[in-house]
Amino acid sequence: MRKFVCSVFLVISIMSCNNDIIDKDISHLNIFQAFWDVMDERYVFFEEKNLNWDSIYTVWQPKFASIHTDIEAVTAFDSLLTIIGDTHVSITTRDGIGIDYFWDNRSNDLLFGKIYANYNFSNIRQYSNINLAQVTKSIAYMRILSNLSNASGALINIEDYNFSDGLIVDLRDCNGGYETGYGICDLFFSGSQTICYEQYRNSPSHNLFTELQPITIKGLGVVGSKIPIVVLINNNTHSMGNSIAFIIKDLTSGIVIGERSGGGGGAVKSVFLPAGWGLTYTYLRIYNQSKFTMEDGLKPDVEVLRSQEFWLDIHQKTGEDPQLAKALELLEKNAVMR
Amino acid sequence: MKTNLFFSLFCVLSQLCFSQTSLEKVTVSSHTLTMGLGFFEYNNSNTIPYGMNGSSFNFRYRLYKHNLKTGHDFRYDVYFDYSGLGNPYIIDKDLVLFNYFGFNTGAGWMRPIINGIEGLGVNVGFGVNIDGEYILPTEEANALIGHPINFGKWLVSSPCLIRINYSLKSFSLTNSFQLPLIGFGYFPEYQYSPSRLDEHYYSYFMKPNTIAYLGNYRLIDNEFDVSYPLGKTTVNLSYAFTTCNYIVNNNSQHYLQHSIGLGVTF
Repeated sequence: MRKFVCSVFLVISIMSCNNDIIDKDISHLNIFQAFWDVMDERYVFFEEKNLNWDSIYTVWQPKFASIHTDIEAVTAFDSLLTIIGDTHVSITTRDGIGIDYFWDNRSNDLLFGKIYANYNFSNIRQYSNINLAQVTKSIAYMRILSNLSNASGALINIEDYNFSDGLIVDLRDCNGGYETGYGICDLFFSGSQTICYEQYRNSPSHNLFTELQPITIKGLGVVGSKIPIVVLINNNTHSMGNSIAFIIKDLTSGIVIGERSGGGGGAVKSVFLPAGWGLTYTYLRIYNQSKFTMEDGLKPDVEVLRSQEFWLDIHQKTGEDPQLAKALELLEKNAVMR
Repeated sequence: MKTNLFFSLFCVLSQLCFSQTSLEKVTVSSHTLTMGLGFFEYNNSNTIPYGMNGSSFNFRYRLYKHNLKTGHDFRYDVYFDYSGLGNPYIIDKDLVLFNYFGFNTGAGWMRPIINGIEGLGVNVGFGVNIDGEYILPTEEANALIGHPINFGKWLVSSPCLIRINYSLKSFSLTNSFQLPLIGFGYFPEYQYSPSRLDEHYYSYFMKPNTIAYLGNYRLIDNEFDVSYPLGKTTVNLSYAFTTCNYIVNNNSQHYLQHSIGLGVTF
């Protein structure tokens, strides 16, 4: 009996001794190692980005071994993220410095206040991350902003607007949000509809994925199928904005105008690395109705491109917006023909 | 017969925490409420792969029924646990980045085993437990790294129970140990989680998807307490530790909790 009691206490003592729950190695090499491990086990776009992950380790591990300051590590990670080329992957230091591929490559913000004034928008209503306005007597405007979540057409009063000759859905500068933001697409169809597909890794092996998982929502049919729709996109239309552009294009006969969207056909999650650093990475892939990846962005049907100088100078001064002007031109022409 | 009498007497003497002990009764019951404070270290490969730690607060209610004739024990437990997890390497070390919530309830039946040592009682048995845990990132974590996500699981299991009790004058020393042997429940899949737009989103997490057993899931819950009668009640001072270590669906979780508790038995 004494042996039994001693054995129970021995087992308990052994189990209570554990020192490896928190990684205490705060070296830059260990931060890189953790970054590499998490990406290796969880990241989903190795194939799409043509990444040889083992060779990245071989090249970059010695570089991080010789790094001694956070600034050197930031510079190294910045170069590494450029090689990975995924707008969703980012790193933060323990001081909150962000290292990001997306923000390095985005366009300048549009001045929507000036656009609204310049094109005489009326009845402007601001909902949570959605703006509605009347542009002409029979053309309405809906702008979807970043960070949209838990959205539905039932939460906005778009019925108060006249969009008999067209609805402009502006997704420019909508650089991301939440999956529940897709709910706004219920405006455009009736009944249940698969709006896109998601796919996850189901093991640490790079090439083992789940089947495509359909995302199905119920439509409200507020915007009828005969209503002409124009979707505006630009390089800053990213992630959730990019997906909504794909979904509306698939669900309607709408025309997409602007410049190629910024891509980001996946969803992200973030984890803390050792030493208080953070990593955000893509953990699922999103496909459109035709099971085509959204990662590379959507090419517009009608491209309207202007130089950086135009957006920085003339647009900032006057609110001139050639992409919106093109949308209005097409819708008004279509109204005359109808 | 002698054996039964011996254990009945032993248990009456050793279970000083039992209230209102009456030899006319076949069973005696005790209710113990314990509040605990402790230290928690946690990691899981999915959302907190490199670990966090923090303070923990817990509350336990325990009912014991002891059969004077047979020496058998019945035990019922309810346990709540909260921990605020922080990262020891960020600038503000006191910031709570994840809230950890734990819940456990279960019943168990134990019978005495002969040990031949005066004052020492050993009861061994099995039980049925339902436990769950949920880890929720805070706004502060969102602000720091962007998109931390939640994590949780639940399990119905059958633990083995060992209770060792020793009486030392007015003091009673008790060690309660439990280890789930087999169970079923919901554990997060490797990456997959249903879309929040899916109408079956919540029911998905209600469905069991895993058989857990000692090979893939090890949870040890041990509590040592010292009891001393004080007036009509008994005061308990306890030290508990819980350690969990599992690898299910290629996700691992590992934690260790130490807790000091103060309780009363009535």
